[in-house]
Amino acid sequence: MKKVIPIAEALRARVIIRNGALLAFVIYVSESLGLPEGLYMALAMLTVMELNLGGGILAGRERLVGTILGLLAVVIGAGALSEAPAPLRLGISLILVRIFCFYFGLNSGYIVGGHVVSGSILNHNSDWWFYASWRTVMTLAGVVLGIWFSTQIYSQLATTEWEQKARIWIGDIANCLSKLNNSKGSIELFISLRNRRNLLQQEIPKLVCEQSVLDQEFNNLFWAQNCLRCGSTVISCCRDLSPLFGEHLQKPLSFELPINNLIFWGSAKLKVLAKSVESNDDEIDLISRELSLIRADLTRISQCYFDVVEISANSALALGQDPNSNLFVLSRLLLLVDSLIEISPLRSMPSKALI
Amino acid sequence: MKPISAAQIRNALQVGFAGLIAAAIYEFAGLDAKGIEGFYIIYGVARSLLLTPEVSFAAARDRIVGTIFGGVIVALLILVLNSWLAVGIGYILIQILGRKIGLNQPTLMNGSIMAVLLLAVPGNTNLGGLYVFERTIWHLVGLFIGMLIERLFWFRSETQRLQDSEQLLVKQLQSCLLKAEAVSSDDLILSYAKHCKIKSIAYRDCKIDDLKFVSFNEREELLEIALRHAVALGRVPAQLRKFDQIECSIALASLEKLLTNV
Repeated sequence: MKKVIPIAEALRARVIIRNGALLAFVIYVSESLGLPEGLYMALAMLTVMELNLGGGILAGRERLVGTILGLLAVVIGAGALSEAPAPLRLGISLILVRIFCFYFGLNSGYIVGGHVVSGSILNHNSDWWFYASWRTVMTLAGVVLGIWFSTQIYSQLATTEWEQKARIWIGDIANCLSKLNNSKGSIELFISLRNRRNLLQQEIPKLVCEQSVLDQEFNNLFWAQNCLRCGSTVISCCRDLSPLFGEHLQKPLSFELPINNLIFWGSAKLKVLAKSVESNDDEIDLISRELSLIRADLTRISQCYFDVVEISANSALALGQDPNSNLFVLSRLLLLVDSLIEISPLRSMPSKALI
Repeated sequence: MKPISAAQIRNALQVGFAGLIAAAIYEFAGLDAKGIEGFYIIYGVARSLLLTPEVSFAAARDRIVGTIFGGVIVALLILVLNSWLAVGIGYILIQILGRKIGLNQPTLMNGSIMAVLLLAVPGNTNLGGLYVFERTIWHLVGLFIGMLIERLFWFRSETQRLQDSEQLLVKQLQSCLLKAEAVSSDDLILSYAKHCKIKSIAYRDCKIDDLKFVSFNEREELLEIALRHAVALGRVPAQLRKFDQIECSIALASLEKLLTNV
């Protein structure tokens, strides 16, 4: 399986040149205007622009909030405890900055908060307020500039990258489903699909940040969550059903289960979703209708099965089959068809560079 | 706003204590320490004691390698070009060369910071390679102090953390059995993903033997079976939940039996 995401080398090179040029420009402006602690504007801008837009916004938020909370800790540590020895002031300030950052739910901002504390108390002991406050202002300016540049020049959207990965993931799930009836799925394949699902899940906060800045509706986010939830359910069902298929599948009371149809139409839908072509609504509608028919069939079978089981339980009639196993197969098939119906087409986000 | 956990309070105290020791060393070194970038000792401390020892170590490695790599490139660049333009050129060189030799994103970021610090601060520009050396050494000392404190106080090894996460998962699964909606499928999946991450670290470092449990693999299998059925419980229609409920409780009961026999 090919898992390499094709990220254009040319685009990466352009982004590196963009960052280098903007970095030099910001340093030049900062030196020309004599901005105090101007290098922190460049560093904050770099933090944002090194990543895609969503990742950059998250990183910028961590840096900015961490810096502000570092300033607060310095005000308490260096201001209120000014008579205490420097190591004690520093120790207390470091404790405070971590507590504040944990309270605000930061994941890495406490590192830069700690830097503000150490820079203020040890390196700028006599002018800590000037240093820490200007550092905070410059960080704010850098984060804002970084986000603005990221949206305007060679914009790399987290949503676009996410969508590329999700399409490949969905395509691999389609392959897994299409082979369900004639081969036992290897456990490594399911673990790999599951791990990729987890990686996609971890990227969701970036999409949230990005969409809030781009002022878009949250449809794409709902789509991403739908894709993860349904794709994940399809993987689980394939994993649970694969040991039973390819051999003698126990049919609940000899009902003919529409397994082949389900696999055919289900994998067809996933393959269509994995393609980057957008105008495939008719194809999706057709497949969804077929899947709805399969669902109705499965619901009818499960209802008949429950009725028979109830009668046999009341009349002490032996079914000659393991009822739990039947329940298991029926539940997984229903779950599978529901997910395949529910999974919605992947929507393309605007991915073109604005310059 | 998030409630602060006991582990986070312990972490904050560890950092505070490490910072106190590092600042005392800085003070002891006298005023000369400032002249040789001694305050970076606290930068090292602030960068240590992260979420787990593995994360702390990776961050420390990225900082040191990035600082040296970026520092050397920019220090050499300064010899031929010393202006704001060199910041951009230095950044591009660090990115291109760093990617060529396979450095990761955080290392490249740390390298890029050197382009700014060496060229935007005239004092640092004059020091050149000496600044890189001093910054690296003081960072190393700070990182070492942080790692030492991490080891000395409230240290949880990979195997202990693995057991903690196992217990947490068992609790969540038990809650699911009592009420299917108690823990969402997504939360269960997330907890299990975290558990698998710790497990892979323990496997990688060959620490599984430290558990002294011959039944480790069996426990992991049971945990996964229970989790599969618990996740399905939250997804399947109500009338079809019975099978998953039974299978999940059987797996959990077997797991608990194994745990009590240990």
